[in-house]
This record gives sequence, structure tokens and C-alpha cells, in this order.
Amino acid sequence: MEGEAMSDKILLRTNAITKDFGPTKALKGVSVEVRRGEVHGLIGENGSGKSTLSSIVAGAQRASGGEMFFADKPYRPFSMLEANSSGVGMIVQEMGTIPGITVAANIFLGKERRFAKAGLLDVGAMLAEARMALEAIGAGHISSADRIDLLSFEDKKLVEIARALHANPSLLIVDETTTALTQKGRDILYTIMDRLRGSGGSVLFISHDIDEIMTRCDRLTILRDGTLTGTLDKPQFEPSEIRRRMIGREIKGAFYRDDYGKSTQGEVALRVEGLSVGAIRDVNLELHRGEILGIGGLTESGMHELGRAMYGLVAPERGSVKTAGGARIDSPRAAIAAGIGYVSKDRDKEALMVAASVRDNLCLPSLGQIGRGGFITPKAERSFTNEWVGKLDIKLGSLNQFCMHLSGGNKQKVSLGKWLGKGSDILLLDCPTRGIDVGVKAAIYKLLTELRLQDKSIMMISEELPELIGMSDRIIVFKDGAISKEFERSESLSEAVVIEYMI
Amino acid sequence: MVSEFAASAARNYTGTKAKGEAPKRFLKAFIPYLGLIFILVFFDTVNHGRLLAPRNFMPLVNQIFYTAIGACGMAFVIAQGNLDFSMGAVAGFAAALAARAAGIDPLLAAPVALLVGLVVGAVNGIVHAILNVPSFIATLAMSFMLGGLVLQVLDSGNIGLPLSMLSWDNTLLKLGTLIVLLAVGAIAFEFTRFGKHSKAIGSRIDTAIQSGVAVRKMKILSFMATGLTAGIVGFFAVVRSGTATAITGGGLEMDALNALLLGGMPISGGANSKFRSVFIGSVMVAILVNGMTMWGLGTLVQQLVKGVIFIVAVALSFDRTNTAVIK
Repeated sequence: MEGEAMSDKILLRTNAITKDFGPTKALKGVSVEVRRGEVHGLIGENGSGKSTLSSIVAGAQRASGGEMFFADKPYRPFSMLEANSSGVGMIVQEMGTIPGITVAANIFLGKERRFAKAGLLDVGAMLAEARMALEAIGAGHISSADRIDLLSFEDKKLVEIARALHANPSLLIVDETTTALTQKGRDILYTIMDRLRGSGGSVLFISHDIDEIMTRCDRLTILRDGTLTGTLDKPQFEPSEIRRRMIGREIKGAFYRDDYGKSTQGEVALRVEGLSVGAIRDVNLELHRGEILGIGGLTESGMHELGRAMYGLVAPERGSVKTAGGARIDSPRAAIAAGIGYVSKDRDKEALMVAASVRDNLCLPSLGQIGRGGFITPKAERSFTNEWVGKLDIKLGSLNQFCMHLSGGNKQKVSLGKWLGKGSDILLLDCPTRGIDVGVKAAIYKLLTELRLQDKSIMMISEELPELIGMSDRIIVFKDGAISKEFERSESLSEAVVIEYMI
Repeated sequence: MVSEFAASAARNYTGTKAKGEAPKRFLKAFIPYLGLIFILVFFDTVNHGRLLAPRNFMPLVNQIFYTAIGACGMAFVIAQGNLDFSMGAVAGFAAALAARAAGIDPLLAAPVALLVGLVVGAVNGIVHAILNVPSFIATLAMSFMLGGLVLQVLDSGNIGLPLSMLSWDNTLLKLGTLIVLLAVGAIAFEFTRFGKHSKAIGSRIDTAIQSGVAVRKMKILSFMATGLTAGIVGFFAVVRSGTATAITGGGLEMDALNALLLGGMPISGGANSKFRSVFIGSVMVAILVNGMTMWGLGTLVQQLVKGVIFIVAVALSFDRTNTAVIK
């Protein structure tokens, strides 16, 4: 990859790439150039399209329009394997290993044919080469014969890195990987990135962490709502400028809550005692009135199960969830009766009926209140729906429009509106701003701040540290199913400190 | 609350419905009516105008009666995304026990038929909702078991009714029953929690559970509704023919299902289910059955046609919006 092909400086060029998911336009004509021998940053808010763009380059998705050139040749990968053989490797944000098989089998997934010997797999040769691949990235402590399930989260990530690098890629895509790594893991990754740059290869480095991007990258592309808002060279790197291009306007703290006074610790609304279920082991916590309680951790830390258990969706193996009055929450119906509302992380499959109208969805939990003497008239439903569509500023074509045709942000407003309409006092929100655009995000933060002042209890489970730090009165960090740390609201709290307790 | 958001809702309507959505919905709603006109014209033509002759009015009404009553109950089960294949067997079982009861006291026949329907329906519902057996398996098994029980009750023969009971086969009573059932069914389906929760279960059961719908209760209630309507059909079938036989009520589930599907209800249930399917669909099925008989088609051919219509209707009405989720 070095030497002869260096004639042109550009390794990857995308030309007016678009990507549509139904009515949603994730990318609206993005043109990016990645030079040889550079670490190129890609930054943007969630939903800005950075992961969509990188997965198109990596062959995981196909563009709806536009063209790509790789090493000056037209490039249209149909699969990740094809991208891989063209010289593009990727390390993904979520878990990218396949459970139930060995480390070596994961590294050579889809390339087993190389070790075929008279139609059988030469396991010995595969293990040996896997060991070399791991040693090459400085992860020699991992045994290539082990089942991948025995490894820690970080070691699994290292296996992915070994897999991506073993194919000798000339372009390595690193998609928000570092949030899940400890300092040691990060150092390994940074060393690899520098080595690749030194040998004339390129890295596309995706992150939403401005500090990290600024230290690691030579150039930087910024996306907002599927549009490119700037490409900066290292001398032009400036946090406020980058942030402005990410968000589209000057942000002065007001994006999140800006009060840092002593948090009002109201009386207890919901009490979790000795709860064990699934990955969760012996968890005790209290949710107070008038507070936003942030729950942080890695996806597999058990924090999502905590929300489900507190809503009565899963029966505890041990322990209990009780209201202040002592009522046991053992089913969603009991939870709703106790004034609890729950917004699932899985918006399209659990929080909403996407094949039903906005009206059907908004009214569903409140039909008993809307009806008079058991009869629910269309007029009563309409006025209820209109009220909440107005209060939450939900953008829609008609009240009968199916939710599948709404944008992610408006869908999320509908799933929140269900519980606000019901008058719930306790809100359990699992990733309430996942995959929605910045404008709606700001509206939801504002709404949560107002609800808090109305003495509602809000528990926000989130994978996004900035919003946890910016919004919560307290943050409880989960690690391996148990509480590893509790932080009080503070201006000086940094992501790095919180991450230490997540991994 | 949320003072700044307190803007008029009207301002949020972008006015641009997803492209082509409105005409498509319009077309979808009218396909059943077009189908109705088509088979009406077709069978009236091939039968040289005898289908709509005054003489054929009562046979047609009788045919509509059974199908519409069955479809009334089935509508709730289908809305939930379930099926009840035992309706015909329940009707037959209810008819046989009603005939036995009539031997003791004619006044017992009707209550026994309805009670039998409710109890069997409750069992179906419990097997499906509590034991988590898929509804078509639970009801197919029930149908099979009831087939055996009916033979037991009938002592492998027929049971005749006391002659006095034939007066129950009364047009006014039947029409009254039909109108009351359709009215109650329509109101329950469109304007009560039972109907709306049933559609929510069919739309997305996880969302229904998380929104506080008593899913098990609603499921059991809907199977009790099919059981009850099957019991009613069984009673009127036995007072019409005067005897309960092993084939009384047979095929009711197919007619009710065909009616709903031809009437435009998606087999997967959910938010697109409308009670008007019961009306139009029952009329269509009645014309179909009556028209085919008049045309001289044998039972065998009729069954074949019904089966083909069922498959085509399912293939056409399967609601893909419910399965293909845009992420």
C-alpha cells in the first residue's frame, strides 16, 4: 500500500452521498476526502449521519445516491467482506464480536476458507495465526483458543481491532470505539492509528468527543443533520467553532440544565431494595420527587434491565421495587396505577405502535380517563390528542397519520406524550434522546427541566455521558450489574471521571 | 404546563401527508365495496336475476344472519391478531347440548347454548393467553376435541327437537338478534376500551403491555365473544332444522373469517381493523354461498371456492405495515 500508489494524495473520496430511511434523510449529499497518511476525524451529534456515512464506506449499508472512489477507482462495496478485501477495515461502536465461538474464529470470520485443508478446517493453523494477529496489536495476553464470551468487554474490542488490522487495511474506520475503552485500551488503539498513518494508510476516526478528536486528528469533517458543515485543518481546530458547526448555533450551557445550586432532594417516590434480576445484582436505590436521576453505564451493564424491572416488566429474582406508600411494582399495570410511565429504549418495537395513528398511540394509556361512562368518543380522543400534539409541538400530517411516518424526534415526543397525558408523576426514560436530532433533543431537555420543577420524579437511563452530566441531579453508574459509583451534580464532573467507573 | 409549547395544534400539521398515503387509504377502504358490487352483479347475472328476486330475500337474510353473527365475535379475535378455528365445532356442540336440554325443558335450550359457547370460549382464551399456546393451535385442538364430544352427546345419531321449539325460527326474532348484536359489537369495537385495546394488541403487543392493557383479560374476553356468538348460531341452527346433527354449525369459522377478510379487515389485526368489515363481508359471503347454490354448484365446489377465496384474501390483506418496520 505504500510506495507505488502514493502518486495521488487522496485515498477515499465520497461524492454527494445520500441515504434515505423511508421518509427520513440520514445523509443529504455528503462529499468527503480522506488523504493518505492522515487521521481524519468525523464529528457530529447523534443523528447527524456520521455513523451512517462510515457504515456506507465500510460496506455495511448501501448509499441511496452519490458515488465513492477508493484509491482512484470507483468503489461500491456490497458487503463488509467486500469492503474488507478492497482495503477498508472497521471497528464498530456496539459489540462487533459473535458470541459462542472462539477468539480465533471471530478474527477470521468469513475467511475460514484460508485454513481449509482437504475440506476441513485446520484449527491449529488458525489459532497460530490469530495469536500472531493479537500480538501484532499488543494484545498478546488474549488467548486465541478461548471462547469469546470469557473475555472482558475491552478485550472483545481488542479482538475486533485485531480482526480489522489483520486484513492490512489501507483505511481503518474507528467508530466511537474509545468511549468503551480504558486508558490502556485507548493507548493500544492510538498506537495502532499512529502506526497506520506512519505507513501511509489512513484512519477515519469518529467521535462526539471534541477534545479527543482535536488531539488525535490531522483534519476534521463536521456533520449536522446529514449535511457537511465544514472540513477543518489542524491549525483551525477550535472547540467553540467545532461545536457551533455541530449544533448550528451558539451554545451557551443552555442546551442542558444550567443550574448548579444544591439539588432539591424531595421525598422518596420509588424505592429499589436488594434487586437482583438478569445481570443486575443486589441493587439498592431511591428515586426522589423533583429530581432527575441519571443512570449511566455500558449497554450490557444492566442499566436497561433496571428500567424494565422498575416498571414491573420483568419479575425480580430477589428484592423488590416499591412506591413510597409501600405498593409493590410487579407489573406494568401496577406501575401505571402507581403513577409511573416508562419509555422503552426500543421506540419502534415497544414504546410505540408504529402501524397505528398518533391518536391511537397518545390515547392508549389514558383511554379510561378519556372515556365517559365507558364510551370513548372520537371527539374526546381528538381533543385529547390535539392538546398534547400542541403542548409537545409534535409535527405531523394529520392525527390519523401512522407513527411510522414521523421523524425519530416526533416519535419520541409521542411516546413521552403518552405519559404526560396520563399525568404520570414518575417517568422512567430509557435513552430518551437516542437517535433524534438536536432541535428535538433541546426541546426534550427543556421539558425534563420543567417537569423536574413540577416535582415529578425522572429517571433517565442514558448511554450519552454529556447529557447525563448536563441534566442529572445525581448520576448512578452501573458496572457489571451493580452500582459502581454515585455522583452528585457538579460543574466540574468530567466524562473521563465517570468512564473510569463504567469499565 | 410547558407554556411555550401551548401553541395551537393546527400549526403543527405540515399538511403534507406521506406521499400517496391519502389516495391509497381511500382505495383500500373502497375495495370491499367494489368487490361487493362485483359479486352481486356476477351472481345475479349468472342466475338470471333470481338472486335479487323477492323470493330469494329470506334465504339471503338467513345466510347473512349466521355469517354476520359469527363475524361479530371473530372481529375482536382477528383485531388482536389471533384466530378462532373452533367456531363451527362450538356451534355444533352448543346445538347438541341445547337439543338435549330441550328434551328436559324447551326453555333451557337457549341459555344452555349460550353458556356452552361462553365456557368453551373461556377455555380457548385461557389456553392461549395463560398457557401461551398459539391461538390457531389451541382452537384447532378444541375443534377436534369438540368433534368427538358432539358424537358422544348425539349418541352417534341425531337429536330431534320438541316440535313446539320450531316457532323459535322466527324472522323477527332473528332480525332483532342480528341488529342488537351488530350494534353492541360495533360500539364495543369502535368506542370502548375492549375494542381499542384489542386493536392495540394486534398493532404491537409489547406496546400494549407497556401501556397498561390487560392483555390476558382482553384475549380471554375476545374468545368468549367468539364462543358466545358461536353458541347463538348453534341455537338458531338447531331450531331452524329441528335436529342437532354431527354437521350442525360446520364451516362457521370459514364463513366468518372470509366475511371479515373480504370486508377489508387485515388478518394480522391491529389499528387498520374496522367493524364495517363485519357488515359488508357478511353480505358478500351470503351472496357468494347463496349464489353458488342457486347456480347449481355442489358443496364440494363451494368448499373449494371458499378455500381459494380465503387464501387470496389473506395474501392480499396481510398488513405489511405491521411487519416491515422502518428503523
